[in-house]
Amino acid sequence: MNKTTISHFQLGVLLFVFMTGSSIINIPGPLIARAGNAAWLSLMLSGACGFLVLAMLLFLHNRFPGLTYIDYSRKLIGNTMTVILGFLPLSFLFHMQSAIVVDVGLFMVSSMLRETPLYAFTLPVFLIAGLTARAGLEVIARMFTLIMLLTAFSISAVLLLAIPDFHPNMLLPVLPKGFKAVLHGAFLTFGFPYVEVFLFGMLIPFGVAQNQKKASRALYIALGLNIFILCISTVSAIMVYGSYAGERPYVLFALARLVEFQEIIQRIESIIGMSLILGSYMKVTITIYVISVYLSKMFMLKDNSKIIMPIALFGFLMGLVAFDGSTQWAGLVATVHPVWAGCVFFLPLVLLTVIAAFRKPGSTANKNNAQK
Amino acid sequence: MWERILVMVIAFGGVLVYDGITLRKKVTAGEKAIYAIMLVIGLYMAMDYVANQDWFDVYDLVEPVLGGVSKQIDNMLKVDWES
Repeated sequence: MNKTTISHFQLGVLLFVFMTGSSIINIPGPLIARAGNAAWLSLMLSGACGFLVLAMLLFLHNRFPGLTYIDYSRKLIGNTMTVILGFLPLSFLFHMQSAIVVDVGLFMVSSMLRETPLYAFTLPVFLIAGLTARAGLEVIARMFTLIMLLTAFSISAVLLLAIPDFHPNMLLPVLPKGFKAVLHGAFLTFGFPYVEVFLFGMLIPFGVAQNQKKASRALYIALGLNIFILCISTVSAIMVYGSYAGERPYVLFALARLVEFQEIIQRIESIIGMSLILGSYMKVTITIYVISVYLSKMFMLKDNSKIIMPIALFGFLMGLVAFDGSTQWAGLVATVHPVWAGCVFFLPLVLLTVIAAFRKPGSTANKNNAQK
Repeated sequence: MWERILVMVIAFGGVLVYDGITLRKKVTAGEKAIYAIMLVIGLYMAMDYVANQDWFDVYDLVEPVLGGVSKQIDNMLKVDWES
């Protein structure tokens, strides 16, 4: 595979855009429906799980510098077990890439273009995401830094302009039904987006090796910033709509509709629509790239870029045939998704971390040197 | 049905033409094998879509295995906001 490197800052940007991209639009409404006014507590709880996943990935990367999840999995549990266990995350990765783009399509169909077929949105997004992923990780990192600034500015502008509509008294009471609501919300946000930090097990090695500490710091800061921004968005939604926010699946979009400034700036919800599309595009591009690296490592291919376009095509087709209706989709994402991700991402990662923790560092380091 | 066939022709055709031009004589045997497997599975999904059927997919595998547990956890954590 070609030697691709990105800086620690770019790695942090990729994690930030990946985690925040589509979740800032999709998460607040359903989260508030589950956790009520304590939605921000759910985010903190599931965010802590995200930090745990990241800590495990960085521990494994420190133990096996320059190796991806598949590579150190081979060293820890052998080739056969790696391939067998490797298919489990693959199922969820393919589901993820189609889910991200189907969400864009569902948003567009439910909010604006009700008669337009889903493929009219999913096909262009997959096409552009596939071509971007084909361009390589360096291009992705450079491009997404600029797009991230644009998206962050747009969402910040909406939240700032909505301040006159805030009613802080709507934030209380925080726990009217006890802590169980917090756990219910955390169950949702654990599955989407925090356990998805796992994908960076395939990207961390592309960060500059000599800046290991800087890369770790950048990733922790990116994840912390993501939690902070999601909390701000959720709290803003509660301050505007109260408990009614839970009945709106795209609450930031609804919030943007209310913004009115000096009768000049009105109905700016299209900015949120644009931010969702950009965020989802960035997230699906990273996912497609990760799947290509994952498959190439698993099957020992030389170049991951050759299989990127069929992966994008696969995601497009899966979005068409697997989507059987909004209710089934909502149930899948809210209920099955967290358990599925937990089983195929979290548990194998915990297993590898425990095995690596009990293995002598010397023995694995000698094997690393022998391999090199 | 013709609309769906057209969508599939555009999707598959676009990918194959693009890769055919850019990857000509640059693909190893392993990469070709993975590419072919993905195309075959893609063709299965394409036929499912064109025929407007509901053939077996990954969710039909996952929901029976994890659906029950997921629902139980969700019901256990669900709060009745009405009462």
